[in-house]
Parts: sequence; C-alpha cells; structure tokens
Amino acid sequence: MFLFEKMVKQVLSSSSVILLTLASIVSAQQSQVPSSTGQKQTAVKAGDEQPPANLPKDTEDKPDPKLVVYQVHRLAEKILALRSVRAKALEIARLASVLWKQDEPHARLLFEKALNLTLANGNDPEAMALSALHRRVITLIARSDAEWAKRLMDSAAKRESGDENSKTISDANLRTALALLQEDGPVAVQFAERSLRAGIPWGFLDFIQTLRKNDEPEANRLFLQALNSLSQQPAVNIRDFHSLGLYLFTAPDLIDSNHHKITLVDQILVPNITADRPGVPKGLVRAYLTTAADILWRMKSDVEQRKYSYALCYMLLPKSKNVAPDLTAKLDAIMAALAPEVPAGLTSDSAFRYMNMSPLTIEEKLTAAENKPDQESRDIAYLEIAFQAWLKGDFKTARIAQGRISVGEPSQRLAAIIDFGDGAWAIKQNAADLSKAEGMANRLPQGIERSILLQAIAKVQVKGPNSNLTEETVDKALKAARSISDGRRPFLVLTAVAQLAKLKSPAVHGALAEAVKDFNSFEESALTKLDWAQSIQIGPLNARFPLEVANVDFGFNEAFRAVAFADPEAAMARAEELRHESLRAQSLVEVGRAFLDKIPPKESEQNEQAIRVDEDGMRKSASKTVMPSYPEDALKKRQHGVVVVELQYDAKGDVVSTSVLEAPSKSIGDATVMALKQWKFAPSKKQDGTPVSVRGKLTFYFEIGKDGNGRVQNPKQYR
Amino acid sequence: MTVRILNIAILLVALILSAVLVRKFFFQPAQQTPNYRLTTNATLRIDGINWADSEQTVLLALSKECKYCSSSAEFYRRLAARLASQTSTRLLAVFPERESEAEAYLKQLEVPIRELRYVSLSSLGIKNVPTLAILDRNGVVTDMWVGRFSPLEEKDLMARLKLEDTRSPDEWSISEANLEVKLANKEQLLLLDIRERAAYALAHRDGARNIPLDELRVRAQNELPTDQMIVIYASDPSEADFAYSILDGQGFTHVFVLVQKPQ
Repeated sequence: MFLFEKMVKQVLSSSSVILLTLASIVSAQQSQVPSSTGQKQTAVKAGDEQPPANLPKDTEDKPDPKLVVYQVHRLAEKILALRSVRAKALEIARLASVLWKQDEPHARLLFEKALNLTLANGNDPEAMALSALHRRVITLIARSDAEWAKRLMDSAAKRESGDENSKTISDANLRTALALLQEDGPVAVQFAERSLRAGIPWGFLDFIQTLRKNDEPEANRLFLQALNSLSQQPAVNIRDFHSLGLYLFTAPDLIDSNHHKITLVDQILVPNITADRPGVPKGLVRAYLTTAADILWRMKSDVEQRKYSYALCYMLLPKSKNVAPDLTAKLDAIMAALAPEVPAGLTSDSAFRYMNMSPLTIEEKLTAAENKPDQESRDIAYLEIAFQAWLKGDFKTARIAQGRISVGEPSQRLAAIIDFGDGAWAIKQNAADLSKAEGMANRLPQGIERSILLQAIAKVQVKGPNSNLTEETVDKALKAARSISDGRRPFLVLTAVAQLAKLKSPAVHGALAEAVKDFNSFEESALTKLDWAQSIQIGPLNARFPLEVANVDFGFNEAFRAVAFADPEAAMARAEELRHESLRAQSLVEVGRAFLDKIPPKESEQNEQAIRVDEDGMRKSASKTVMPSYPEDALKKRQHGVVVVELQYDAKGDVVSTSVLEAPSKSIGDATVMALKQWKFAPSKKQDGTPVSVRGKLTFYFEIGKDGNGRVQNPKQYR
Repeated sequence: MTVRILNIAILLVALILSAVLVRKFFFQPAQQTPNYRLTTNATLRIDGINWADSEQTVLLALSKECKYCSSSAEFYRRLAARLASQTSTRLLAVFPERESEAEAYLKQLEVPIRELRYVSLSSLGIKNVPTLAILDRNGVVTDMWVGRFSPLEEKDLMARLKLEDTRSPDEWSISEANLEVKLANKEQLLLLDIRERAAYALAHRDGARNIPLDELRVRAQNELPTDQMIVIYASDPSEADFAYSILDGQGFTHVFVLVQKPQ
C-alpha cells in the first residue's frame, strides 16, 4: 500500500510538471490570436520618430542647449549656401546626423534637403554620382532612423531601376550594414538581411565574418539565410556560391586568419576552400553541402559556369564524405555529368595540385629569384619577395631582397619603406617598442614616411607623463611633412595640428593657419582620391605598400574634429577660410559636432531612453485624464481648431515634459498643456522588465458650437 | 488511514485530469511553437494541400471579422479575376472560421475564390489578417504582405505574379500637369502635405494643408472632407503611398497621390 502511494506521488510530481507546461502553452496560444490590421508592420513606424519633447532648461555653467542648437542651424545655413551640390548634400546630411539627438525635427528637415538635392534620374555620370550620394545620405539616415532608411532605399530602388531587389540596392543595403556594424549590430543585421534580396552582394562575406567575432549565432543565421536566398534563385552564380563557402573553409595555410586565397585550377581561379575553419558547426557545413548539391543538380549552366561547378564539386566531395555521406552519391553523379562537358585538364587531380601546396621557404624563393635568366626578372622577383615579407612583418627578409635589387632608385625608396614598416610594426605590437620606432624614424629622410611614423610615435608618447617630449615629436613630424610635394602634405600637417590641439599647445594656432593655407594652395582635384601608400614599380610589377600605422588616421574629418573640439570658435573662423567647398563643409560639420558636444548629456539621454508610442498607446495607458478648458480670450476671438502636443512621461507614469506642436493660439496651447500636466499614466516597462519613459503625441479639438459655447473634444475615435 | 485513502484519491483524480489534458493538447496537431511567426523563406504545411499541384500558390489569410479584409474586397475581386485565366497559379483562401461561413462571406463580398480552407491561423504563424503570401511548389513562402494593399504594393504584387497591373495609375495618382489644370479650373480639392511640420513651415505648395504622416491616422477622420478630392504629396513616394493606404482604409474615396518631378 505504502509503496503504491509512493509510486503515485512520483507520477504526480512528474504530471504536475506536465500540467505546468500545459498552462504555459495555453497562455501562449491565447496571446497570439490573429488581430486585424490595416497596415504593414513596418509601416506602422512611419512617423514613429518625431520631434523630441521640449528640452529642459539648461543647467548653470553649461551652454544653453537651445543656443547651441541655434548655432548649429546657422552652420547648416552656411553649408546650404555653398554652390557645390555634392558637397552640401553629403555634409548637410552628416550635420543632420550629428544634430539628431538634440533637435530631431530640424535634423529630419536637413536630411530631407540632402535627399532632395541628390534626387536624380538618368544614366549620365553626373546623375549616377548623385544617386550614389543619395544612397550615402540614406546610410547616414539609417544611423538615426533605420525604418525611414529602409523605406527610402526601397523607393530609391524602384525609382532607379523599377526593381526593389536590384543589385545596386542590395549593395546599398550592405554598405549600410557595414557602416552600422560597429555602432548598432542588430540594425546592421537587418540591413544585411535586406541585402540578400538580389543574390549575395559583394562584401557580404566580409560582413558575416566580422559579425561572427561579436555575435556568432547571428552570423551563422545570416549565413544560412544567404544559402537559402541563393537556393531560391533560378540562376545561381556558382562563383558567388563558392565564395560563400569561405565562411566555413579556407586555404590550409590561412586557417587562423580571416583572409582567403584564390588559387589557380587549370586556367580558372577559384577560392581555396580546402581546409576547414576551426570551430565551425557541422550543421552549417551540412547545410552548405545540401544547398550545393541542390543548386548544382538543377543547374542548366553555360560553359563557363560548368567549369566552376566542376571545381566546386571536386572540392566539396571529400567534405561530404566526412559530414554528409548521404550526399556523396549525388555529388558524384553531378561530377560525372559535368566531366564530359568541361576541359579535360580540369578533370585530372593534378589540376588541383596548387590547393594544398605549402608555400616556398624564404631560401627557396631567393634561390628561385637568383636563377631567373635576366636582371629585370631577378629584380622583379626580389621586389615581390620584399613586398610579401613586408606585409608579413618579416623585415629581415625584406632587407635581404631589397639589397639584391640592382636598380638604384627603387632600391633606395624601398629601403625607406622597409624602415618605415619596421617602425610601424614596432608600434603596433602590444608593448610598443618606441625606441626602435624612433630609431627607424631618425634614419628616414624628411618626407611622408618619416612624418607618419613620428605622428604614430607621438600618439603613444601622449599617454606618458612628458607632454614636452610629445610636442617635440609632433614638431618633427610637422617639419617632415613640409617636404612632401603632393596633395597629401596638407592632410599630414592637419593631423599634426590635431595632435597639438589635443596637447593644448599654443603652437596650434599658427600651425592651423598654415594647414588652411596649404589646403588652399592645392587645386581641389589634387586633394581628392589620395593614395596613402607608396608604390614601387619594376618592369610590370607595381608593389603598393600601404602607409598604415596604428592610431593615425589621415581623414580630414577626424583631424579637424580634434581641432574643433579644442576651440570651436577659432576652428570655425579658420574653416571659413578654406577655399574648397567640400573641405569647408566638412569642417563646418565638425565645428557643429564640437558645439553640440558641449551640451551636458542629460537632455539627450532623456530622449534616447524614452520609447515612442502612437496616440492609441498613449491614450490606452493614461490612468487619469483631465480635459483642457477653453480659454475665455480664445473663445472671444473665436479661435478654434486642432491642438497637437508632444508629451513624455517617466517610468513612474508622471508627465515630465510637454511641447505644443500645433495650436490655433498660444492661450489654447497653454490651456492644453496645463490640463495635460495633470494626466497620469500606467508605468511602462520594456520587454525585459526595466522601467522606461514613454513619449508620444496627443490631439484635441477646440470647437465653437452654434450656440457660441466652446467645447474641447477628443478625436472622434477616442470619444 | 482515511487521510491516506483520501490522499490517494486526490492523486488519482489529478492523474486522470492530467491524462485528459495531455490528450487534449498533445495530440492536437500543434504544427509550430507558440511564438512562431510566418516569414518569407519559411515552409508552410496545410493538411490536404499539395503545393506541388501548381507552379505557385497565392495564399490569402482572411477572417470575416476583419474590416480590412472586407474593405479590400475590390482588390481581391481584381486579383481573383486576373488569376482565373492563369493556370500556373492557384488561389487559396484560409479562414479561422468554418468553410461554410467563409464561403458565405466571400459570396457576400462577391469575391470569386473557389478554394477555401478552415485552419488555425496562429498554428500557421499568421498573426494578422489580411495576410497574402506567395508560395512556390515546395510550400516555401517567397513573398508576403500583411495588411491592406497600397497602390504601390499592389503594383509590386501584380508584377511578381506576372499579371498586368490591375489598377490604372489614374485611379490613384495625379500628375503635376493634371493638378495644375484642376487648380486652374478652381476645382474643389484638398492638397495634403504629410511631411514634417518643419519642412512644411519652410516651404509648401499654395493652399496645402499639413498633417504629418504619423498624425494622419488619428486626424484624418476628424479633419478631412469625405466629399472632396484629396491630393497627397510627400518628400518621398513611399510615404505618400502609405498615407494613401491610411485614407483609403478609413473610407476616403477620392484620394490621389501627386506624382512629383524630381527636383
């Protein structure tokens, strides 16, 4: 008897678990009754982002936010007064982006202007350039209002090509995704998803590989979505599909890096996907193989595609044996079907011999170079060796190869580039070896390499205690920059000025004047499309050594930003002296950024934290309402009409700010605000349970009846 | 001893109860998890329907309780009529109501859809009605629209189904030139500017009335005339299109979108 009871109890305890589970299923089912809706989900957000609530009064000692915002409006006018459409469109959009937090309505207006300025139809170069700019403006908008950006992109696509899923727009979506990746992962992912509507855009692999570092599940999901999107296309570009495989596989010698290798297979070049990347889930590999088998099976492709299909199949077959043996037969069959239709060379194993080839050792390479028949071939081979070694940070080999180059001038320039690389490499290491970098810098002649290296050294020195030392280094960098002859000179002078500004050095004023003068001394064409690299040419080989160094950015904006942050007024005065409109516009944006930065963060944070709801939501959560009364004077003057007020309440449900957006008269607006201040709302919480402040709009109608009496009404639907 | 018997009795009752509940909930065909939401690329299964019977299927999820379904009747009539001549596309309506009720409902709306199914919409992941989805022969959703169709969406759908656009643009849009003619003839019309207040304040068309897009849903039926032509303009065509569908959904019948020349 007792045993039986014990048994029943056990069963009961497990069935109560079942009961609990059932209860949760029931409640979940109840919560998802279909609702009737008039609009698309995305469309509901159409006007979601609206003017912020009135900014609270300023605090003592801090600049008045309203005044600062006004100053920025003036800057916007200055930019809009420029003649160059391109300069003003892009920069006004950048300014809007900067202004957004403090003054959303005006920022929206500026964005609209930028959009209008860049509307263009046609295929001439000017129209295409404007369309590209239009897309860049939309990318900027995406940072502030992703939904708006999506709608704009779709309509831009329809306008340009009549097709929302065009290739251009896929690229635009992906560019936006890449631009947003560091700032706002989830929104970036949304844009990346949209980019898949027309195949796999260029750069998609780059996006998911970068995303994988921060959010692997999401990156994996996108990868699967890309597979899915490809598998649904009637005609798949096999090379695109093959490249997507680089997310899972790579060349044997690149296992630990994000780089990939394109390898020669019997006269065609294909991504090397021989080796597995470590840690990739088997499920993904399986999904890739299944999709591959599916696509290759139904492919009715041309001769070119067949070659790539065969190569892909060949490389996937061993993987399928490991991960998905059930697919092997299918892949085998596909290969057998393709074999008679591809060049015979491709079907032999030796076509794939370079796939697993281990790289030559340095000695082997040098010997091979030495054995070349003529001097020029030898020089080319040495330059190639030096270049590869330089990229890998192997400066010893680079110097050996450089020493063997017989042509004097390239060899000398290469020596300087190697010294630069050696110094830059020393700074890049975790414990920067400053003395080595300084040694290299001192060996270098005056010029671009020396200036850049010294500026990088100064960036490290500035963290130390001796600011005089840093200033000295910057001064040397400035001197070195002056002997550069091309358009890169003023940029390097400006980055040096930026460092002086950060050091609060008195020398900054003179140096800034010099930079501005220097910019003005060049024609605009000499200042655009600059190549921050040194190229060395021997025969047909052009080796391009990027002048990259840790922490130094040659962008005008970044440098001018530092100058403007140190002293916005002075920076503005200098900005106006810039002769070229695009530079002037860029610098004014940075001045605006500097102005806005002086506003204490509290106000902007308040708006940021608040979530926006529509009027329905506002009215539903109101727990106490007071109707406004009709002001006597307004009634006398027979003023009547609609009032729209923006209201924000805090996490407790108390009204914290109100702002009249529209009213027939001031007294009617005031009366409405007075009533609304007495409203109370149900406290709101985010999905995760954290309390949140809410803002939204409320509408009232002030009406005068035939009897001459005033009446205040809610909109019809809320009566 | 009596307490013990009582305990056992309670336990037995609980056991039977749970068995009943288990039967009721576990053996019902719950196709998806509770929070599942149908999206594009998802595969849909409906008992007794073989998607491979036709090249593609247009699936309409409706309910007789949904006013947007009723007010979209004209569009469904057009769609059904166009699809009738196409053998490769199948038109299927699913309802959360019994087939007989659904049939009566469609008859009342004069929408000629012959194939109907009673389904649990939530188990298919359909959260809102009306929903229109295009499925391929594997039952994979290739496109999906939720809510009432705006003119641009309708155009889009027709293009995807490779059907002629069923609506002439004249029914819902007006060119600058035609607008000028109407204005010159002093025809009764209301120009509606749905841009932000700031944009309106800076510059707007003569005589235009400003209701920002996000306020339109609340303000339209309080402020806009039902007997006059309304011409919407915005800085972006998709926003004007959206405004159109709001007004259309609220029963405004003479609504037009101004087709603007790029500036």
